Amino acid sequence: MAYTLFFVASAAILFSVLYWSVTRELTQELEAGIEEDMRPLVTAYSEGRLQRLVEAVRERAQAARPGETFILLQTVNRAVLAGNIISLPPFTGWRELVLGGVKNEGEDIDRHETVLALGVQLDSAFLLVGRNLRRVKEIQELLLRSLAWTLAVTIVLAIAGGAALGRGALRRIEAINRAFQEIVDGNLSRRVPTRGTRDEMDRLATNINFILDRIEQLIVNLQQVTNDIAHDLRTPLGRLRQGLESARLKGSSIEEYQAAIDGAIEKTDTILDTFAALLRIAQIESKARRGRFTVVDLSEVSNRIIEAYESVMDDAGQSLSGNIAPGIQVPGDKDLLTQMLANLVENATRHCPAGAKVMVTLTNETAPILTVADTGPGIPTNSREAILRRFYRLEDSRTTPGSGLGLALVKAIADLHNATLTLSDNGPGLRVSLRFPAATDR
Amino acid sequence: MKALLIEDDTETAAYIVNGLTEAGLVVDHAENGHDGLLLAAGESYDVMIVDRMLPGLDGLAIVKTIRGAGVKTPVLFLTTMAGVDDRVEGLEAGGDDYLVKPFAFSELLARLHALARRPPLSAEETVLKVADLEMDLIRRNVTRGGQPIDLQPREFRLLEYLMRNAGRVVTRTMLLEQVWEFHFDPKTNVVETHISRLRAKVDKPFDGELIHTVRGAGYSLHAPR
Repeated sequence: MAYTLFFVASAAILFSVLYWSVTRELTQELEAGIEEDMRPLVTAYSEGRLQRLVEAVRERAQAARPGETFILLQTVNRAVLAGNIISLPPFTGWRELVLGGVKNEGEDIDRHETVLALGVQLDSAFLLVGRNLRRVKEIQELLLRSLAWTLAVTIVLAIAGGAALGRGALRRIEAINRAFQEIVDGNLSRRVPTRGTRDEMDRLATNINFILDRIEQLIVNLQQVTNDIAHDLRTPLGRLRQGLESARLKGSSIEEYQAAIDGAIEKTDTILDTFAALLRIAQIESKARRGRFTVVDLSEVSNRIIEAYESVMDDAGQSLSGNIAPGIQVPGDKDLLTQMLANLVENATRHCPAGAKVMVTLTNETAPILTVADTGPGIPTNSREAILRRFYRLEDSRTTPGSGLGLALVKAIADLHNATLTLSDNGPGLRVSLRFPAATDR
Repeated sequence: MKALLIEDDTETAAYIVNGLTEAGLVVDHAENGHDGLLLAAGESYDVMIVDRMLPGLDGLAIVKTIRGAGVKTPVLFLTTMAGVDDRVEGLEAGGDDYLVKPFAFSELLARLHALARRPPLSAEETVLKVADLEMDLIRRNVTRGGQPIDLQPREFRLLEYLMRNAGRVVTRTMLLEQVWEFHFDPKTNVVETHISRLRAKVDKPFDGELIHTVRGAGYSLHAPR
C-alpha cells in the first residue's frame, strides 16, 4: 500500500512540474507577442497623437486573424474609436478576459473565448491588445487528462504489482513456515524449498537450510552421545557396583578390601576414560576447534609417533617402520593429529599378532596422504564402514582391551581436517589412508 | 612450600587440602573467585591451583588479572574433561600447567613440585649432573662415570627431563606431555618401554640405579640411597 501511494505521489509531482512549466512557457510566448503588437501602436500615438493611433489600430485590426488577435481603442467613456471587439471597462496591465461573440476563422458560430489582454491608458484613450488563450487552455486540458489517465494506470499497476509481489513473497515465507512446522513436529531432515534463482529469498532459503543442516548434525550428534553413554557406560558401572557389593559382603581382611578398592579405582578410571573419549569425539564433531588451527608439520608428527612406538612394537614382537616425506604441512590441530596417528598405530599393534609389520607412509604427490598399513588379519569388506562407528568392535576383538572408540575418534579428527579416510585391503592386512585437502584446494 | 587453592567444590577442595597438608604443604583455600583473587594478589605463594569454572570470577580471569599485575607465581589450572580447548586457553591466559578432573592425587602433587621449583629462565644450566651422570646440553652428549652413553634423540629428551626434575617424582602423563607432546592417554605402554630402554643404557652397565620407579605415581631420578 505504501508503495502504491509512493508511486502515485511521484507521478503527481512529476506532472505538476510539467504542467506548470508548459503553462508558463506558453503564457510567456503569448505575452511577448502581445507586447510586440502593442509597441508600434504606442509609438504611433507618441508620433501622431490619437489620429495616428486610430489609423494604426484599424490597420492592425484588419490584418489580425479573427478569433486570434484582439485589439480595441476606445475613449475613457467607452466610445469605440477602432478595433475588432466591443467596448470594455478600461484597465491597465495584464488581465484575463472572457469575450463573448467571437467568430473564429472559418466558423460562423459565436464563441466565448478566454483572452489574455494588455491594457494601456493613453491620456483620454484606452488601448487593448489581446490574444486568444484557447491553445494554452487546450494544452492544459490535454495535460490534465494525461495526468488523470497516468495516475489511474499507475494506481492500478502499483496495486496489482504490489499484490503479485507480496503474494509471491508471502507464499515463499509460508513455505518456509510450513517447513519449520514440519521440523518442529520431528522431521529433522525437512528443508526449505529453493528455486535456484539466487535472489534474496533464495539466498535466505539456502542459508536457512545450511543452519538446519548444522542443527540436524548437532542433534544427531547429541543423540548419539546420549545413546552411547547410556549403552556403554551402564555395563562397566554395573560391574563396578557388583565388585564393591561383593567386597562389602565377602571381604574379611584389610588386604581383600584394598584389592577391592584398587579394582574399583581401575574400573572407574576405565569408565572415566570412555567418558572423556566420548566427550572429546562429540566436541571434535562440533567442529568448534577449527578456530584454533595452525600450520602443522605432518612429517614431524609422523616421525614423533614412529619414534614413540617403534620400541613398544619391537617389544611386542612386531615391527614399525616409516617412509615419511619431509616438510609436509597441513592446516590443523597438532594435538589432535598426533592423537589420530597414535590411535591408528595403536590400533594396528593391538589387532595384529606378533611378527606383523606396520608401515607408516606420508607422501605429497597431488595432496598429503598419510597411510598406516599392517600385515594383520585385516577387516572384512562389509565391516569397514561400521568399524568407524563408536563402540563398534569386531566379534573376535571383544577380548582385547580398548574402548572401541579409537577409530571413531580417528574419523572425527579426519572429518575436522576435511581429510578423506579410506579403509582398504593391504593384502594381507588393513590399510588406512588419510587424504588431506591439496594445498590448492584449501 | 605454600600453595593457594581456588576451588568452589567443597569435596574436591577438602580432598586437595587434606592431601597437600599431609604432603607437608601449607595451603590457603578460597571458595570463590573474588576471595581467590584477593589472596592471590595480596599474599605470596610458591604455587597456585585454580579451578577453571568458578562462581563470580572465573579462573581464566583471575590468572589474567594477577599476571597483568606482575604476579609470576606458577599456576596450575584444574579443568573438566569436557573442554577440549581448555589447555590452550589456560596457557594463553598465563597458566603454567593444567590437570583434568578427576585426577590421581600423586599426579597433582608431582606437578605442583615440578612447577614450584621450576628454575628461572636466566639460570639455565648447560650441564646437568646427578651423581656420576652428566649431560652436556650444548654438545648433546651424556657420560656416566666418564663413560659415554649413546642415546637416541627422544631418549636424550627423556633423560634430560628426568635430570632437570632430579629428586622429584615425574608422572607418566608429565613425561608423555613433555617428551612426546602427547596430550592424551595412549593405551600402550610408551613410557614404560622407553624408560626400560633408558635404564638398559644408563643404569644397567653401571653400579647403582639412578632411575627409580615410584609405585602408583611415576619415576624419579636420583642418586642411589
